[in-house]
Amino acid sequence: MTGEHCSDDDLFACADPLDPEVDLTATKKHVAECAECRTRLDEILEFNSILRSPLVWDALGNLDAVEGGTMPQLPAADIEMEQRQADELLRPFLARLDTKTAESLPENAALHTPSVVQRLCDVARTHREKNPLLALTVAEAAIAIAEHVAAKQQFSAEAVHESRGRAWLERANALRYVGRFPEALAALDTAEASYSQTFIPEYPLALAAYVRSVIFMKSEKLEEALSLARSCAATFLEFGEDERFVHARIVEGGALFLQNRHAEARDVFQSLLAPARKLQSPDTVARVYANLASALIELGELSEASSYLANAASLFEDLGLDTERLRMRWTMGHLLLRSGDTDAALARLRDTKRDAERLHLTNDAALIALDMLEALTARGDWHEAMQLCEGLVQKFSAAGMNESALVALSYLRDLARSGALVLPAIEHVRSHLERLATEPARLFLQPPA
Amino acid sequence: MSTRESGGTEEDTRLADVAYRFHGPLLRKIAEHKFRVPPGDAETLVNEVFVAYLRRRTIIGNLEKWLVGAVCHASRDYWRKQRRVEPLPSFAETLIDTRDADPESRIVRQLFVAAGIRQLPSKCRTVITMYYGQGYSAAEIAERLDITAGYATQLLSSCRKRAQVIFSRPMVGRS
Repeated sequence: MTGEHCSDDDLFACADPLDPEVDLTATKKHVAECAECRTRLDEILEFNSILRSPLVWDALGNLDAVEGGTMPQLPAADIEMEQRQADELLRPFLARLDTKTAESLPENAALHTPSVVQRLCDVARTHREKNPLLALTVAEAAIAIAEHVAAKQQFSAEAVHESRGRAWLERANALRYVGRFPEALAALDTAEASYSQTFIPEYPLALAAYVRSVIFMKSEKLEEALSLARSCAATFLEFGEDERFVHARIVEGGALFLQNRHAEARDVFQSLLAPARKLQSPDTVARVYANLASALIELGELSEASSYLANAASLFEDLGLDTERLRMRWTMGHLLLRSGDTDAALARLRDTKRDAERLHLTNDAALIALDMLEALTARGDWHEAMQLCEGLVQKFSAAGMNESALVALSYLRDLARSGALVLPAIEHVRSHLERLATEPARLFLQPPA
Repeated sequence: MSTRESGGTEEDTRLADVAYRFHGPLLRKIAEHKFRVPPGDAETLVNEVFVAYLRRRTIIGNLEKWLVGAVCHASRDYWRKQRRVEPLPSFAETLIDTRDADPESRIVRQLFVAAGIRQLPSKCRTVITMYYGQGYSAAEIAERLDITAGYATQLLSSCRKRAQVIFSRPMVGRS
């Protein structure tokens, strides 16, 4: 034993004692009580079992026989050289990358290669979260270059389809991040049509399916989102893409959550805890924690939810993701509301709303305000509710909020002034503001009386 | 396996070749043994898998696992295409069942272990082979290698731990 756990020596001996005299009593007792050591012992037992398989020794003999043989000429070296050349050619442009530079790239005939398309798509991918408009421009440059590649007729059909597929996939991703969903879906259709003509299309088609599932989830096409998320998760598993698998299942859990299937959502997120931790990606772990917390809140498991929320917030803080950390504090406000501690909830929501305004997250700030309004209305705090409504319209008008959102908030203000503010009206406005994120031109319609 | 900013064509060719030499035989074994793809076609299949990887490697997380998944998909697709030309081989019906992941993943793990054993120092490989592959006890290994029983036990203990570590981590050639 070393410290709290068994050493590998002990566990190997436990699995397969080389010396029959050695006393394994303490080790066996510990393993019976320690889940971590038991898991490690299971790994060792499986390894031993594989080692005893005749296939291993048969394969070893064959591998040894092949080693002395001659490998066929590789096309890989040519592709590697093309990729290296693409890096060299693009370096001066990428050093000063902006929209104008990106737009000019297709004019340069030296850049018309599949590897340049691939590199530009990589660049688009790295920018899409923080600068999606630049990512979009770069993806569109990649598309234009992919067409030049096709026209050149000196590259294989496989390389042409791969280039087109990838460029349109990155365009779809960038459009997703700016909320232009119909265009993103159309881009995915083109990406899929190209990828279908490549070798082993299943993998890139799963990438496209994942993006589509996210869009469907945000557009509330939840059954479609669920089906696609499950399907691409299965494919990612086949290709050993563990992180993508976790992300696809997060979408699955999210779709279930939005369908109010909270127990199933919780089960999905709980099943992701171990694989997410194994990835050693704090961002992914934090997202699993956050989603699990939301499901637990809906199921009334508030104490457990609180713990996951705190862990998620801490991880997001370490990662410098202010927006996500803010969302955790907002969810904590919900939790406090559900637990009946309205004063603490309102204090938390007030602080969170202030931070949302500081980060220019206007729509989120309005939604947080609606949560506060709901709490105040529920306990009959009409005066404060009315003050909040008055302030909302003024503040968000000054912040340049979407006109349709202002109309909705004015509606609530008017109800509050006339003493007719009710929870269904607040819910109606909340639903409208949430839809505006993906449908900015949506008009506000008052609910039927 | 990564592109380099400096270094000549010869070096890049060597890197690509090393990675292909390491992973290629394993992938061929999967295509030939698991999916019964004829050797010549298996070779072509593996080449195509490798090219597909190179074109997609910046959107791939794990080289070894992706290559294995890719060769499995490519092998199944091979038989689907063959079916249009010839009757399906009798064994292929079971092979094409993608729902039954466990036997396939176990075979893949076994092949990975074989490749990993080749990375062991020769003394380790010898004792591991004698113990697990040929069924000798530690005492019999000591007798055959003319070493003490205690040393044979110690060697076996350290070598199997080492083998398990190799099996657990990504192999040479990962980008």
